[in-house]
Formats: sequence, C-alpha cells, structure tokens
Amino acid sequence: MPNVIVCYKWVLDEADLRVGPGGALNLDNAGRKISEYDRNALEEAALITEKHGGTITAVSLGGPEIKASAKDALSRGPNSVILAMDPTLQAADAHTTALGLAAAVRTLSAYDLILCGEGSGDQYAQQVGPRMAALLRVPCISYVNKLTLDGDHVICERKLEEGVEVVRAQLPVVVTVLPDLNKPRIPGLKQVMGAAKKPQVVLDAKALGFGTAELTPRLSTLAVKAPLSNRKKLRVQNVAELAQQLVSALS
Amino acid sequence: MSKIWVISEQTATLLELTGEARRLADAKPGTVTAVALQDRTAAEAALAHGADEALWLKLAENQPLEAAAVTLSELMRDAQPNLVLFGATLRARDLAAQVAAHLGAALGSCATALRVQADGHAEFERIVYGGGGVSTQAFTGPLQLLTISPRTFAAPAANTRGTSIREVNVPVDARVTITARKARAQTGADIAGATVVVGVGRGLSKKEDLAAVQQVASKLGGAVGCTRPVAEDLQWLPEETYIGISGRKIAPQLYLALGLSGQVQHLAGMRDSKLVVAINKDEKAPIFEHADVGLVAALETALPTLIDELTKLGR
Repeated sequence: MPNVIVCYKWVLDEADLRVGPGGALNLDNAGRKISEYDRNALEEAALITEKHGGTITAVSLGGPEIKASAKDALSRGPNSVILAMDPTLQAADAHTTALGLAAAVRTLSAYDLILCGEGSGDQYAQQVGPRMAALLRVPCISYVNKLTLDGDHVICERKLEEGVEVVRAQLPVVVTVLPDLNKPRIPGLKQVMGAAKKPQVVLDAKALGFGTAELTPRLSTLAVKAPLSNRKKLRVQNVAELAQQLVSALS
Repeated sequence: MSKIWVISEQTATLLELTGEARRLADAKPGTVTAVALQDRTAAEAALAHGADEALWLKLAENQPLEAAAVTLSELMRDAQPNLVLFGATLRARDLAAQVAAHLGAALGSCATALRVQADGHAEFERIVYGGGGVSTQAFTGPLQLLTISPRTFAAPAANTRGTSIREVNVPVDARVTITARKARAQTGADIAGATVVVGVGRGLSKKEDLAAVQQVASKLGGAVGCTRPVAEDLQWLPEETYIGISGRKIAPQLYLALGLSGQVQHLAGMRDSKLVVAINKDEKAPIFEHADVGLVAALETALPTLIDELTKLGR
C-alpha cells in the first residue's frame, strides 16, 4: 500500500491584490489559500489511497502563517501533516523551500510517491518539485495529467507543448500535477471536523538541520509592481461605433 | 572574463539564446558555450551563429530530457559558467530546476527581461500572481541560472566562431522509460500567429452563440480564442485556443474581447495585443482597464447587431 506525500504551499490569494500608488502591489490585506494546483495533488492522493489503501502525509513550508493551513489541508484527505515552520522561512525561495521539504520528507520512514502542483499560484516558478526530486535523488515526472499506479511503478502522461509523453517510472518518484488531472472535491463538514483530530508535526529550522547556508536566499526580490497598462480606455455608446473602431483598426 | 552557457532542445531557441549571449559576451568580453540536447545539427548551427564552443549531450531514445540533469550539472560544476540561459520550454524548466538543485544555485524562472550589469550581476523580470504582478529579481551568488521564453530574442545573423563539438553521453536512468509519445491533435485555430483574435469568456450564455462569435471572427479575418473556463470547464472550444498565462500567448493587431471579465491570468496572455476592444455587460469589469475601446453591453443583443454593422461596413 503506497505511502503518499503531498507538498502544498499556503499562498497569498491573488484575487486580493490591490494596486497602490506608482503601480506598487499591495498584499497587506490578502487572505491565504492552498495553492490551486496543490489541491489537485491532494485530490489525487485521496483518489490513490481510496483505490490502493496506504497513507497520505501532507507537508508544507513557511513562516508562522502556515499553522492556519493545517486544518484546510487535513480536511482534504491526508492522515497527518508536517509543517516545516519557522519565522526564517517566511519568504523562502525555491532553493530553501526544496531543501526544507526534502529534509521533512527524510524524517519519514518510507515513501513511494511525492505529489506537488506543477507550480504555485503566487510565484509559479515550477521549481520545487523537480528540485526536491534532485535533492532526494529520485526521478521527477512533471506536468502530469494522468497517473496510474502499477505495483512498484507509476505510469504518467505528461502534457507537453507538442503532445503527450507517457513515462513509466520506478517508485519512489516525485510527480508534479496539472489542474486537468482531477476535480478537487470541496471538503464537507465531516471532513472539516475530522481534520481537527489528525496529528500535526512541526519542524522548525533547527529540526530541519538548517544553518546559514540553507537559509541564505539565492534570489532577492527588488520590486513587485502591477504590469503597465497604457490602453486608451475609450468608451463607446453603441455597437455601430464599436464596429467602426474595429474596421478602422484593420484598414 | 565571463562565461555564458546557453541550453535548449529546440534549435531555433538555442540560436536565439546564442545570439543574445554573444552580444553580452562581446560587451564583457567573454565566451559562449552552446549546449544542444537533441541532435548534432543544433550544435553545428550554434557554432555558425556566435558560439565559441558547443556541447552535444546525447540521450538514449527512451529517456526524457530531464535525465540529462546530473550530467549537465557535473559539466557546469567543472566549467563554472557565470550565466546560464535555458530556453523555457516545459521540459527545460524541469531540467533547469534539477540542475539548480544539484548545484545549490539560484534559478530565475521564465524571465521576460534580462539585464546584465558591468560587474556581471544579472537582474531579470518575471510575471507573478498569475499575471497580476511583475517582479524584478536579482541573483545573490556567482552562479546565475535563468530560463527564458522562446522568441524573447531575435534569431541571430550568421557568425562563425568555433568549430569544436564535444560529445557527451548521458547515462541511462534505468528507473525511467518513455513508453509512448502522442502528438497533439491540432483541432482549434492557430491563434498564436493570428493578426486578429476574437476571445470569448463566460459572458457567452450558451454554446450555440459561438456561431455568432465565429461569424464576427470571419468578418474580421480572425481566429477564435477563449478564456480558460470556456475551454477547460465548459469545453466549448479546444484547449489549445485558450489565452492566458498557462495557455496561449497572443500578440495580434486587434484583440476583440467578448464577455470576458479580464482576470489577471487571461490578461497575461493577451497583453501584447496592439489594439484591444472589449464588450462586457458589467461596466466595472477589469477588462475595460486593459482595453483601448470598450462597450458595456450583453452579448446576446450585441453580437447580432455587430454582425449587421460589420456587414454594413463592407466586411
């Protein structure tokens, strides 16, 4: 029976973005959510264990704010959650995040499959899954929209630019998933209540074995601004005027 | 002396990156190493377009591109390049992330702009929050890895520098095998190259109204695209016609946005359109902030009228 690990990110909700003076992005009042594609990863883990049995461990990394994510994650199927949580990890880049998640995974006795969203809703750098696989020395199968377990192997369909690549790989592996893999169900009251009783493990930076080298960011953010829009924003009153604008644009 | 590496499994992308790397290396001065991942002709082409040397990483037929990660990181550990540019195809983004992890290095993903300072430090821009923000980032260490979207740089002119191609065999990773490859069936219009694109969103109340949208598009000589929910949730149009950060990026002369609200993810795919014209029944829809011409109207009434008006204007 497979031991499945799902990594998720507790991201700022981009729907709460506000643009301040000079185009600066304001996220001060933004809520947080489990990153969209990570919900597909959680759902796939639930589907796999419903079919094959086994356990699901959810893992997340961040600052103290991720404490609030545990119940949400646990209501989606995992048996337990590991929070790699430390104030120094609040703005961790992909390098530090992958090291921390890999360290958290190594605290488990065994695992078969690690599922991640193919990218996060905030940065969408698409790095953490492949980086973790490299650090754990296991294969990474990315951009997967169909997944089948076959004994100690997994068969995945990768959706790539020019078509589909079918890959068969020996477990354990990291798989990064696309949103069309499944439709995440919305947790009901029973799942939400049950989540409160499930175990949560917290690992701080020290427990992860982190020193200065691991915590030093490899990238620094200089600015985040709203994309420039220099559109004319002319309003027309009827379809006839609009049609004229369209035709003159083509002449 | 700067060392720049460029890496892509696509010949055209490898040449674009080679051209840009040559320009940067000439300013420093420095050397350009091109890494071809699929066939030898790509390595030869890079040498004919500005690379000082070329590597050809040979993968077994049934191995995914990412199987080259360990070999590539070992080569880079020996050569110590300052700047490494990968073409940001899906496979190469995965490959680059694995290489970065093996080297403990920074990786900038899908950069849309690149600036290299006189001291060799690079800054780049990338899209964040699903298209809602542009982040400017800098590397803190000496090894700077970056993936850059294909077609960010122009194809370079012929410029023969070196002649040597070093062949490196990538060991087979027996744990992973490609068992089949299926080409994508092209069912929708080619919107990426169209001069006029008509995009529809959820403001279209029923599937039958697509016929009217199609009629407007053909009167304008354009192709029909859509937002992600129209393709993925409603499945009214083929997946390869949805426009957005995770779908197609378009840059037409004219983009007509019909009944779409203008979510940041969609805007990121149509931002390079020359003229944007929008119809939406909600006057507060964000699309109007990103349109040159806007009309507040419901599609059910606006579409038939638009067809009539375009006919009157001789279209």
